[in-house]
Amino acid sequence: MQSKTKEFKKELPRHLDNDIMRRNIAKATWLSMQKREKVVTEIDDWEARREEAHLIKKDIVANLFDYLDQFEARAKQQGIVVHRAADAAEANKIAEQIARDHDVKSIVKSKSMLTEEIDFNKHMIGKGFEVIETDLGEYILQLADEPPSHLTGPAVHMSRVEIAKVFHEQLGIDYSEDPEHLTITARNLLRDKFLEADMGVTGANFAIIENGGVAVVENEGNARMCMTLPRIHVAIIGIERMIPRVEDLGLFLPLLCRSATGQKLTSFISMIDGPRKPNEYDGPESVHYILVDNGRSGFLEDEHMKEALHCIRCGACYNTCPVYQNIGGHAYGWVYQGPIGAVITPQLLGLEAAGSLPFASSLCGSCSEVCPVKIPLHHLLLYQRNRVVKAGLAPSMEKTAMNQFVRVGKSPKTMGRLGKAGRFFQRLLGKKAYVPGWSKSREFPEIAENSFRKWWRDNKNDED
Amino acid sequence: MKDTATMNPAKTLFGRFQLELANIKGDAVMTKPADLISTTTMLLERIKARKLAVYYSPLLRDWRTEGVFSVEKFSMEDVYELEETPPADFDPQTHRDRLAGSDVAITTADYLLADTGTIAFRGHSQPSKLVTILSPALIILARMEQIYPDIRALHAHLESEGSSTASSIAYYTGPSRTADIEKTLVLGVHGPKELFVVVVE
Repeated sequence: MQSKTKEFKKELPRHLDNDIMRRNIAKATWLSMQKREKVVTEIDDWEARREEAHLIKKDIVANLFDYLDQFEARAKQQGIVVHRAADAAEANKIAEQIARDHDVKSIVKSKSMLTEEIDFNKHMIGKGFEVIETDLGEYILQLADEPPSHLTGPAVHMSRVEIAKVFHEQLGIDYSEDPEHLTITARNLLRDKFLEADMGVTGANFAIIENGGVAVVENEGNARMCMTLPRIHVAIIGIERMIPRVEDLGLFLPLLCRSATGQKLTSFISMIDGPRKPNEYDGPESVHYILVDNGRSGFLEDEHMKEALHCIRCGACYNTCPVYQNIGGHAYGWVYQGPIGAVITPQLLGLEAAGSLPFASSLCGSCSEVCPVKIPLHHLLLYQRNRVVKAGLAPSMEKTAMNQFVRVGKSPKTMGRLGKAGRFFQRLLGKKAYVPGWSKSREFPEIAENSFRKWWRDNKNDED
Repeated sequence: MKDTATMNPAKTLFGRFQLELANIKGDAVMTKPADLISTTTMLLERIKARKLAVYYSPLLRDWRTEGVFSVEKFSMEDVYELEETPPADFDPQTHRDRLAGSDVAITTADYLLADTGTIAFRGHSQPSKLVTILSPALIILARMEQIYPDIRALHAHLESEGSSTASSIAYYTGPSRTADIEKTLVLGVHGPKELFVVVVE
C-alpha cells in the first residue's frame, strides 16, 4: 500500500470533516467495544491469560530466528515449500514465481494485512494475474478501489448507501441497500471465482512452531475455501506470527477473538496441514509459505520496540482509541492504524516518513489496557515521540516554544514577571490570549487573579 | 425440580453447548440412538433438502450398512456418498461439483466445546474438508461424551494423550457470517448458512 503518512497533519482536516465516515466509525467502534466488554469480563482469569500470552510472545521475539528455523523445518516435514523474503519486493517476486511455475491465471485471496503491507495485489495484477479479494469487506474495497480502514472490519468507514452505489456501478446490478441482498450477490459471484481459481492466498494468524502448521481465523468461510479449493495454496506469513505449541491455541484464540470482534470464537478457524494426502478427497496439490521480514527484524535491535512485535492484530486498540474513533483509519495514511499503527509505522517506514503518527494520541492508556498481549502501547507512543524529537524531526516552532518554556519554568523571577504582564494585558484587553494556529481548536485558559506563589505565601501558615 | 447434584454432568455440558450455539444462530438437538434417523430426517425436511452429501465416518458406517441414507428413504434427487478413502476412479472435478451442488452435507464431529458452541474436526478424521464448507446447510452428528467444557480443556486433553500434533484441527463456531456492511449481521456469506448439531445420548 502506498503510504501517505507524510501528509498526516495536512490531511487531518479532510478526515475530520467527513461526517459520514465519522458516524460509521463511531457506531462500529462503540458496538465492538460493547461486545468485547461483555465477553472479556466473563473470563475470570483474563488478566492472567494476558500475562501468560505476553510472556510467550516475549520468548518468541527474544529467539525469533531460532524459532523460525524450527518452524520452517517442521513445515517442510509436512510437505510444505518454505520461502523467506527479506522485503516486500522479494515476497512478491516469490509469489509471482510460484504462480508462473504452476501455470496460474486466477488467484483468490482472503484478508491479510501483510498482503496489504507488501502491495501484493498491485504487483500480481500488474504481472497479468487476476487477483480477487473474497472477504466481503475486502471485496467491497477492491470494487471501490479504496484501502482498508480497520484491522478486522476493513470497510467499516463506508455506509450502506456508498456500498450500494459501488455494487450498482461496478457490478451492474440493480441498486439495493439491503445488506442481505448485497451479500448474496457477492457470494454468488465469488463462488464462481473460487471454483475457477488456480491459486489461493491467505495470511496467517498463528504459525505453530511445534508442527509447522498455521491457524487462520475468519468468519465467512472464504479463507477455508482459499486454502482448500485451488490447486496451489500460498500463505504469506509475518515472521513474528509464531506461537510455540498447538496447545497454545487454547490460550491465544480466545484472546484474539474476544478482543477483536467480541465473539467467543470466530465462525471458522482452520489449520494448514500441507498438500492433499493420498487418502484425502481434496486440498491443494502444493502448499507454500512465504515468511516475510520486511522490517520486522529491525524491531529486535530496540529493547522497547521489540514488544510491538507481540501484536496479534485484533484491532481492540483501534476501537478503544479516542483518536481513531474521530479520525478513522485512512487518516493514518498506511496499512496499520490506530495506536499500534502509530507505534509500528514509524519503525517500518522510518521516523521521517511517519514521525507525526505517535503524536496522534492523548496518551490516555486505554489501548494498553485492552491489548490482549499487554503491549504497553501508550508508553511506546511516548517512546516513539522521543525518538522523533531526538532525531531532530520535531517542528522548529515546537522546539523554540519548548526551549522558551524551559527557560521560563526554571526561573521563578521570569515566571513571576511574565504572570504579572499577562494579568495586566488580560485586564487591559478584557480577553483571553490568542495564539495563532493553536487557538483555532483550543481555548487559552484565563490567567488567575493571583499567582500560586503569592497564594502560598499568604496561606502557608493557616494549617498551624 | 431436580437437585443439580444429581444431574448428569454430560447433559449439563450439552445444555450449555445448545445455549451457546443458539446465541450464534446454530441449532443443537439431543437424541436417543434409536431416534437418530427420524431426527435427521426431520432436519432434512426442515431444510427442504433435495441433494445430500454424506461422509461415512466410522460413526456413520454402521448406519450405511443398514441403508439409512439411501436415496429412496430420504426421497432425494441425489445422495453423494463419501467413503473413508476416495475410490480408485476418483475424479476431483466431479467431487467438487457434487459438493458445490448439494443443499446439505452430513458428517460427524470429533469434539464439541460447550462454552463457545464450537464443533471441532481433526484432519485425520475428515478426509474431505470441502464437505463442511461448500453446502448451504450442514448437519453435524456427535456423541455426548465428545463434549468438552472449553477450548483450553480440549487442548489440555489432546496434549495429555499426546495427539496434539498428530493431525490438524479446525473449529466451527456457528454458521458463516459477516458484518462488513454497517455491522449488520448476514449469515451464509461463503460457507454454510444453516448449522445443525445432533448429539446422540
